[in-house]
This record gives sequence, C-alpha cells and structure tokens, in this order.
Amino acid sequence: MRRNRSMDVLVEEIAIANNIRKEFPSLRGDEIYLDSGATSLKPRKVIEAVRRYEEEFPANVHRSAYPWAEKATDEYENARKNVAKLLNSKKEEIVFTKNCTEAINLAAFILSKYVNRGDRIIVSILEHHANFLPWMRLCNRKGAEFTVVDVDEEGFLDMDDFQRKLTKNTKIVAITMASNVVGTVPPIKDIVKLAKDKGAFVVLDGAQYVPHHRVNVGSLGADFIAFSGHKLFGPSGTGVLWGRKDILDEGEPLLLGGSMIKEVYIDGFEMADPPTRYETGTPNIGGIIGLGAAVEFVESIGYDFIERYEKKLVRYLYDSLKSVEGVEVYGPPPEHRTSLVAFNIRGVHPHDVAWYLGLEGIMVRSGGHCAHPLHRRLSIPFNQSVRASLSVFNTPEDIDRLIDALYKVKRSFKV
Amino acid sequence: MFLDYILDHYHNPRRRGKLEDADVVLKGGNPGCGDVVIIYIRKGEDGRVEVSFEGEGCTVSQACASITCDFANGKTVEEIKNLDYKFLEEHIGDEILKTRFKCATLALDTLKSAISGL
Repeated sequence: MRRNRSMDVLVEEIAIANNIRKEFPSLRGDEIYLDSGATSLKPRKVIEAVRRYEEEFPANVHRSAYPWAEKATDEYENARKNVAKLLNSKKEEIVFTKNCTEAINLAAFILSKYVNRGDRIIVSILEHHANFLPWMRLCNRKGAEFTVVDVDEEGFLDMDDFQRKLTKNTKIVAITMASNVVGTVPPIKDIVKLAKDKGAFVVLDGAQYVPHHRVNVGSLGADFIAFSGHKLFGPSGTGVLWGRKDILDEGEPLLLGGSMIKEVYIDGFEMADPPTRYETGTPNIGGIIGLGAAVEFVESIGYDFIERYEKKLVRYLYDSLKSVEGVEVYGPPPEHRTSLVAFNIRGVHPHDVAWYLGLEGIMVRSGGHCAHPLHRRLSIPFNQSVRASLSVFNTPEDIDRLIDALYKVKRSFKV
Repeated sequence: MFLDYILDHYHNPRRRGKLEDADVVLKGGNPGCGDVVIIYIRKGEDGRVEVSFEGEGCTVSQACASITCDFANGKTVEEIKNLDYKFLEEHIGDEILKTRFKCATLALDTLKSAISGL
C-alpha cells in the first residue's frame, strides 16, 4: 500500500535521529509521539539536571549564602547564560516565565504604558490565543484599535493587508514566527523592518519557531520574543521572554513581592534591575536548571541538523498526508512551514481520529489548537483539526505508521 | 470493538430532533472541545417522559446522545434520575467509555441535569 511519495531523507540522517531518540526515556516501546508542538519530550540530560537539583542542592536562589544556595543560584543563572547564548543576546535580556503565554502577557503588560486611546495594535489571524487575547484586552482597556491581518486560503500571511493596516498610529505589531496550526512561517524580517519604519514595537511569538530554527535576536531587530521552554526539550512550567534591555529597564513586573525589589519602605519601594525585576517570587528553579540542560541538548545536536532534517521530514509528512484520499491538509506547502501539519479526514471528527490513533500508539493532537479565529477563517470543518507535529527524533517510519493508521481509521469509520 | 454500534447511532441517530412543547430544554457542552448536546424532555400524563436531542460534535458524543435518549425515552422521571454510567458501558463497552468519558457521558449528564429541573 506504499503511496506515491518521494523521500529525500538520507539513511545517515535517519541513523542520527534514531540515536537522538535513545536519549528520551519516555520512548520505551514502539509508541510514536507526534505532539512535540504541544510539549516536547524530555531527554535524559534534562531529567537528570532536574533530579540533581532536587536531590543534591535543593535550595532557593538569590537568597542565602550557604553552599547549596550558591550552587542552586549558579546553576539557575547558568541556564540564563545558555539561553542568552542560544539567542545571541545579553543575559540581562532573558526573563524566565512559566510558559510562552505568561511571557507574552508580560510583554503586553510592560508595553501597556506606551499605548493610548486611538493607537493601533496589529496581530494576525494566524495567532495562538496567547498572542491574540492579551492584545485584545490591552486595546479594550486603552481604547486602542485591535487590528487583525488576514491570510490567504493557503494560510500565507497577506502582506498587502499588513502594509495597508500598518498605519502611523500603530504602536505594537505582535506576530507569530510560525503558526501552530498551519505551520506558516511569515516573512519576519520584512515584518520587523516595516513595523520599525513606522516606529512600532514588535513582539514575536516564537513558541513553534525557536524549537526548530535558530534565532539571532541581534540581527532580527524585534523588541520582544517569547517562547516555551517546555517545547524546547525543557521541563514543563518553563518559558522565556527575551526583551530589549532599554525597554526592560523602563518596565514594571506583572507580580509584586519577593525578589523583584531592591528596597521596600513603608511608603514605597525600589525595583530590582531586570531580569530579576520580572521574576517575582521563588521561580521554577529545577525547571529552569533543566531548561539550561535542554539548551545544551539542542546545541549538541545543532540547529543546522535540526533544520535540515526536519525540513525533509515535514515535506515527507505533508506529501504522505496529501497522498491519502479524503485527507484535507491545511496550510502552505512544506517549504514555507515549520515542522508540523494539520489535517482532517473528511467525514470523521478530529477527536475521533486522534482517539483512534492513540489506541494505535500514535500520539497527535486534535482540537482548535488555541487558534479558533484561524480555524473559522479557513472554514475548517468543526473548527477543529488533527495536528501531527515533529521533532528531531521522529523518522520517516513514524510517518509511515501514521499513514497506515489513518487508512485504518478510514476503514473503521467507513469513509 | 463497539465502533460499528457507535457508527450506526451516529449515522442513523434515534430520538434526534426538537420536541415541540418540551417542558425542559437544556444545552450541555464540553468547553473547549466544541461538543454540544441539547436535551428536550416532555412529561406525559402517565408519568413517563419523552426525550430527544439535537447537537453537534464528535462521533462518540453524538452517538451516545442517540443511545442515551433512545434508552431514556418512555422511562419515568425516577428511573432517569437513577440512571448511571452502567447502561452506557453495556451499550458501548468499557474501553470507549473509559477513553472517551467526557464525550460518552455528555448527553447523560445533560439529561440528568435537565430532569432535575422538571
């Protein structure tokens, strides 16, 4: 039943992927994980880093002078150095959060003081709700104009529409670097340049981009980039906000309390310098130390390999899904997308597909993927879809098994 | 697998449609997943009730709405109040019930909330 689809993944590359796969203790048997877009699996190195913290030096950070506390603080700050190096940024520009959503909300809070009545904030219809709702609320509160850039039927961002909407009164442009549903990678450099020419702040949602592609914040020219640590092989409960230093220096934290202060008086307080200012209270210490190890894991594989290999893999996934009669694939061709594909089997509800695949040992996500406006815009049945998202440990064989299982779904559901 | 039975109820739903002059109409849904079931109940003079549903969503939620309404139709209020997940398990098997609990029980939970408003 092999379908007509070409595969240009090299045998050596598959061997490397299979070796990487061995680093993930959760992949014990022949289960197939195609949900790295929701959260990535954790390699042994990350689990070990968290275990070491919890077992060997489980003290709070930035507080005490005894050896455990010093070790915990060193490791926590080392994670910040690792993330800074990954993005080619200063370490003072790296703020740890619990997830990408919190990071974007923090960016919106920091920028809120620059937004006035009559201003405009631009997002796109591609956005995850996390890069949609914080801006909608900010606009509602300030009497600013919430403006949504459209896509075409293939899921490409409509750059003409963007340029039309990018008016002089645009204060913030908040755009995804890669759609979590249709995978579209918009022309970010062009978007940043156009927005900057109009004097707008630029906030980028890198949740689906940073795990798969190298980002150099220096050359990108944006003001904020948010992403999830837990989608980058880090532990759950970890996220990152990179912010331009001069903006962070002028901003206020979401939360007040411990850590974020220099001094407190009965009639006021002085804030600590960034990034500590934005990490109020005891952070997810073990998680962040694990994230530091996750960044080392990514660097040890190298973005060159990740990008090259996943590009071929997502093409194979896309072509394979397209080859199945009755399968609708959403979004642009593989050369314009990151490592995921959303689809539906005509006549079967996406929950039923994902559930059946789960019984077959294949893990994919179904639902609205926190992108309801996009599903409606593209007239996707039930406003929901099935999404297979890839990581560097997946292989063409995983995709073959997905396709075989989809044929079983079709037979079982009689479509 | 009980899938064929589920598919039969999905493609040929029993008790699907609005009940005119219903005594209770209650909408139930699983937030975030889009499954919706509206339960209609009309009480007859003999103390038995007529039950029907409308809705949209996944195969399991809609099939189980059909199974539930078909099973409950013609029963007394007390009988419906005493229904539990057991009859669903007998109809669809424990694997589907366990792995799709929220989908499978949406109609039954909505029906039981509706009947308490009678």
